[in-house]
Amino acid sequence: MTGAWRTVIGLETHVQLGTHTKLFCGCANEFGAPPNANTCELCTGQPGSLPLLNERALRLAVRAALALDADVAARSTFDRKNYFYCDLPKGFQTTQYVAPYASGGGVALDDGSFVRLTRIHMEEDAGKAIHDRGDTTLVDLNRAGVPLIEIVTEPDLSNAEQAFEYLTKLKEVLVYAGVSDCDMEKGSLRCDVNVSVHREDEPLGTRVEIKNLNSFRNVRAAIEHEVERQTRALDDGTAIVQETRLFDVDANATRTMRVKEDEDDYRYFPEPDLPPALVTDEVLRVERAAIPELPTARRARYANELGLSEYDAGVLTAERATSDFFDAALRAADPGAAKLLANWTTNELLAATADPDVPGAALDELRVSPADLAALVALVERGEIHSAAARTVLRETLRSGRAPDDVVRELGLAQASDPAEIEAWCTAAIDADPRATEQVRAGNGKAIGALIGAVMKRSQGRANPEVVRSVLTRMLEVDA
Amino acid sequence: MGSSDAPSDPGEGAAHTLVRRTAALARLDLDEAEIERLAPEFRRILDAFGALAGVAADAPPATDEPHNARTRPDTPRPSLGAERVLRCAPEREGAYYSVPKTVGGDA
Ligand SMILES: [Zn+2]
Repeated sequence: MTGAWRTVIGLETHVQLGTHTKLFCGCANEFGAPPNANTCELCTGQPGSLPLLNERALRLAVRAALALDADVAARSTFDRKNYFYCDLPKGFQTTQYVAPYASGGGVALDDGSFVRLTRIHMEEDAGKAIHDRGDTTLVDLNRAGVPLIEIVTEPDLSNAEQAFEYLTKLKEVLVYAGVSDCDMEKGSLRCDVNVSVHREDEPLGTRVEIKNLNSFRNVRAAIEHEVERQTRALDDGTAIVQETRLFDVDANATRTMRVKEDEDDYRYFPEPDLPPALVTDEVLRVERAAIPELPTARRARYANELGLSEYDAGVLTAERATSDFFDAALRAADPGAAKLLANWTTNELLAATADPDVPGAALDELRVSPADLAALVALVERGEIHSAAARTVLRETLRSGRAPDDVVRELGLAQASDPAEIEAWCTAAIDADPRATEQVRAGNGKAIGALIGAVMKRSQGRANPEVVRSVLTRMLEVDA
Repeated sequence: MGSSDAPSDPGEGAAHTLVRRTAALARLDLDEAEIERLAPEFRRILDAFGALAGVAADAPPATDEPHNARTRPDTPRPSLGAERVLRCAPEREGAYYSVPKTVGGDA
């Protein structure tokens, strides 16, 4: 009994598929509609109504499986999972129990470990029960019948951080693949956790399931709390009861959910109203082709091929739109400009999307195209404008949509290259600030900054600060 | 399928236990007379589904049906909407169904 405690974690993640309609009926799959607006005979469980599988739901499910390297079954079947609760008017949930459509695959973590997937199956979501109304529960069935996939891992995770990273990477893959928005606030991604602890070199401990986790942070907090609760109980000689617990955000604790069905209670049986779901080679080909380069691969490419920092690669891939924009700009640019392009994308453009004065709230809505950004960065690289002027150009392009080259010409922002012109600005700056001039002559190297600044102002940003510095040092006869 | 796999003659006690367990899960408050009446009915229902599961397991895979009979396009169709759907509701509050309070799995 002296071995260290080991934690074993498995995750079950429900993800709503980004379809227009529900899994088995034509009601809209839409968040935020008035209560019960998107309901029909089928999704409210009226007798005589027959389900028909949504083709796009099947395809998105297939795409998700392929993006997670899972094997897709050519033929999978549906079962009824029977339970009686107000959020499920049919009295059963249509799911895939015996023959799920996908198995295997997994998610690689940064520490080199790999979280294997047991299976992925399709099923319908239940409605929403609202309990904060005294003695009654209010039921909204808009969500009843919305297509879900449930992604079940092997018990391969050993701490809360790994669970957090797994969920983050899973979400990235599914969002990039266009399978789901995975927005936990809207409930499009939900997660249940299985946790047990045991002593090293001893058999696995009793498993506890935690439900009601509505953010990745809550998943992490719930696991940390539950591991602590279980180890403390075992240290005290108390056995762990196999049960389902609910996470209480306010109390930051889990509590027992008293009555819960066992697998036997569901009395699964084959869904007689639905034929098996078939996935042809053609569907596999089309859905595989629809998967873009995934974020982990993009980060590796940015770091290894473009020499970007891990941080920049992370910022660029946090949203697919950012990464797509950057890649499109990269294709239009000189390969050596990657770093500069990354800086302009992550600093100036992302800031612009948040600026209420700039039209467009997302990168692909901005009036600056990837080609515009590449052109702007090329101007900077060739020394035709310097970065202060480039920011002016970008602001103008963001406002008007005019091409950067045109803006440079119109605003006369091209870098001044006439030495006589630069010397004239320098002379004026020296005459206007005798104190700084004296300090520079006396050997105070820092004082030259004030003079350079004055020249930049006079030139309205058109002078190259490096050229100005060398002209000033020559004119004041000091060492550079 | 747990005890429902027993083909027949489950014994009165087993069927009664099943009814009690199922009623508890469904938050139904049954009295002894109701349990007495439901136990044999429940047994017959379970046997029927057991037979159905057996047939489905033996059936050859139906792979020769035309593809278009299996799926439908992801095109929205008009819903019935809250007013029509709620006509079947025993009780409502606004556009919601209203039912006796049952929180999570708590009894
Ligand atoms: Zn419907």
